[in-house]
Amino acid sequence: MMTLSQPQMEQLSELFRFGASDASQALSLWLGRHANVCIDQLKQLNLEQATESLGPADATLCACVMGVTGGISGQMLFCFDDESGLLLCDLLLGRERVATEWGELETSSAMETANIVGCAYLNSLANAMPSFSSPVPDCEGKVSHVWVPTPPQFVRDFAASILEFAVMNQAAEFDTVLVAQARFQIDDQPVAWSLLLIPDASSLTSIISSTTAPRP
Amino acid sequence: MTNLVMKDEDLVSMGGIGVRRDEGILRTLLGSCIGVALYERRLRLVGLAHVVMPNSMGRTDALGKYADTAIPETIRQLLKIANVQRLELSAKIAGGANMFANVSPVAKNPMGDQNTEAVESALKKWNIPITARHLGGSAGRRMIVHLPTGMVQIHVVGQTMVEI
Repeated sequence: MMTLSQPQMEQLSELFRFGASDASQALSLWLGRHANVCIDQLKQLNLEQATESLGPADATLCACVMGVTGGISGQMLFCFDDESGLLLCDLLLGRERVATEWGELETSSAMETANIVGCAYLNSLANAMPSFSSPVPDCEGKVSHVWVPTPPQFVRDFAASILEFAVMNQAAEFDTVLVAQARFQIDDQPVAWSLLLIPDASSLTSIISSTTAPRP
Repeated sequence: MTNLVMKDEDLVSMGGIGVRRDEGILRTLLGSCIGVALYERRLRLVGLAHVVMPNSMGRTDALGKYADTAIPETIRQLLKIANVQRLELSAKIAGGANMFANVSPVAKNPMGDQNTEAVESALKKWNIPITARHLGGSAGRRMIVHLPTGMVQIHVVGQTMVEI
């Protein structure tokens, strides 16, 4: 059983919050509205809790799933129920609640949003945790750190089936899983979208080790 | 669609094991994991294991999680609730999907396939015949096991429920 102390959880939460500001900015630009991505907290959950962290296990959930490689590896999921996901598409397309089912346009909109928000979030995190990233110089010689997401894959399935996949790697090593969950607000109103970042077991071990290392 | 767990129904969570006698329902949600339903017709017993990984590698802390430990542990629990020395079991198995082939780090040897192979091997070792399978693909499943009949229903989102 891997159990994190309260100071370790607080230290890790602080790190994961670094990504929220850039993700908010990227989402605001993308939607053309004021958007806020709030990192609720890091959660250390047993397997049962983890598969129900986005609601009832049997609920139908939509997710844009991305693998993460680079400094850390793991899974990132942009999740929403049908109504909230279709609302996102209508917001993007400037329509008044017309989408009622997932067509090609709606699916593409969701995946592109996941891509934009996810990349902004990962880039910020990579720069906040340089010891877990490879430095990459840009054309002006300025060094950035990057974590690389795979292209998103859209799925509509049972919530527990999706989350089971996402926590599988950590579950192979531990009896609890660590999940960083972000929630969203558009024009200061909460919307039922969630962004989950779930590092794999080896990355999680490294990240946790870094929190216990003495600071200079 | 919500987790409406009825009085005579148990939800078996990830890595868990459920057993029932006489009547009722056991239910689980599967992705790449395997649901293993062990049925004893004569004694009207059923056990349902939600297998997450193929091999325990000697671990003994979460017996329902691994194929090699979940089968004997389910048998042990069934023997205990029936208070008998011997069971005549048959198995129905479901799950083992490869849900995210494009983003999975083990895409060349998907976890669903590894789990399927390990469960089939463990059942063979315990001489338990497999009477029905609903495996593979890329979608999650809801597996519902009924007592006293041993009937298993499989539900995939967007599809009609089937009986195996």
